[in-house]
Amino acid sequence: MERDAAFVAYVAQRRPHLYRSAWLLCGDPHRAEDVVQETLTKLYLAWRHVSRADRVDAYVRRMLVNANIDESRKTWYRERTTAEPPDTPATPDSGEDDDELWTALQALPAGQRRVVVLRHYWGLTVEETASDLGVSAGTIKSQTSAALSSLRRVLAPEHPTPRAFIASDIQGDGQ
Amino acid sequence: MKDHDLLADRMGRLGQNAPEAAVNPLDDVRRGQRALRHRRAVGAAGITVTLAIIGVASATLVLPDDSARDTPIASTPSESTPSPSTPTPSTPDSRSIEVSAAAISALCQVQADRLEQLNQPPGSQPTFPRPRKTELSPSWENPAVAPQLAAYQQAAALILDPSGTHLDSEVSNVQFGCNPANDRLTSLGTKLGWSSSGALGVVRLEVVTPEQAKASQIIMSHEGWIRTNDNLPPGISKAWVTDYEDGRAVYVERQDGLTVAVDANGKFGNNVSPGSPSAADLPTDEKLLQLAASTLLGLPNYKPA
Repeated sequence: MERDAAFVAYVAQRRPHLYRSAWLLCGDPHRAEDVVQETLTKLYLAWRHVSRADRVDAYVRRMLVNANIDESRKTWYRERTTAEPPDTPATPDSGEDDDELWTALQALPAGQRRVVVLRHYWGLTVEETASDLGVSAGTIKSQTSAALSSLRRVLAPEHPTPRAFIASDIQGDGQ
Repeated sequence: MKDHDLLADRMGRLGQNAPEAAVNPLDDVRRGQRALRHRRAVGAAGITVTLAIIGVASATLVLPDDSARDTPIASTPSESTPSPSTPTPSTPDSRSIEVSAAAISALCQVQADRLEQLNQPPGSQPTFPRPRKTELSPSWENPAVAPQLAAYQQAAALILDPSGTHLDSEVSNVQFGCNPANDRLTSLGTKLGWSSSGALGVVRLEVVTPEQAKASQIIMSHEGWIRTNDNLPPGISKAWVTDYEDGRAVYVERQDGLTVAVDANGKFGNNVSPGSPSAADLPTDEKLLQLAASTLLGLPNYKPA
């Protein structure tokens, strides 16, 4: 079927990017996969119309953000304490700088995190981001500014590494 | 390097560190196909139930008394019967047809009685009077809605099928909803057959008040609605479109406050058999939006807030 072939071609090309976006948005690899699956299911249903209008990425971005919001409202995803460590690392297995950015990104309010992912990972303009999120350009600018203020510390080329101190403090408390 | 550029660079690197998820794109196709089958099954079931209810109502229920049937229609002929040669205007002021409150109230009573009958235990006596034989009349001929439904058909014929090739020329179906608190119509719609290439499709129209917009049958029966801002006709504030296997649909929020939904389906639900062909030459999104904007698609006695 022509529809399926075109859909598969799109998914094969864009799925990794969608998954990474979802992972940056929600901070959890399993939840990111759920969000991507839900998004692509909706995309499949709307494929004929969306692909004809040549706006697949725009549609997918909105679905992805909305699906992440929906997932975050589901009670079974609410955080709870556990005695067992997670089987998947919550932070990227990479350099310390990325580690800090990851932590700072996940500490942002959800609205600011969405703006950062759309503007600085997808590379959208203020207007495109505003259109995707259904808010004004002024809101995007203010949220971008607030997010940058929070992230500036970890973006600076030379900055203290408070995370190391925090880690040692926790270890010290436990002994 | 500016903060924005630096953050974009670092976000790009961070994204590369995402855990790898080994997924076959064909799994996404299978999930999509399952969702499509599910949606079709739900849609077919909904159409069947609606038609069954309408069938029961039109076979057993009529107007409570003759006075409502004789209620004069206040609308002028030019409002309810536009000239075929005149293009349908698309201005924000809805041309809702004025009828007497008694006529609307009588129609709403039909709906209340119908619901009461449907909710009665089997074998029990109905609490409302049985209709006399002479009162039997299909609801779409009720004077409270007949002129407005005729206007719907006129608008659809003018905009979707100016050659008169495909669309039913007469209304033979109605769906409506009432607010029991004030006996005012909250929704009105109809289905018009669309014939093409030996197959029968359907154009569904639905006009809904703002407070009932979420309950629109057309909106609820489809998924994948996409907001569109492309060349919207005058009078439309917001518009959404969707495309599905056998057709396409639109709904709009208009400046007069009404929500209007139009659905063009290549298969008429109760005529579908496995492998049956879809009607062809369905109207485009642009035509459906143009129809949704038409001031002839009003709601009797509706007054914008």
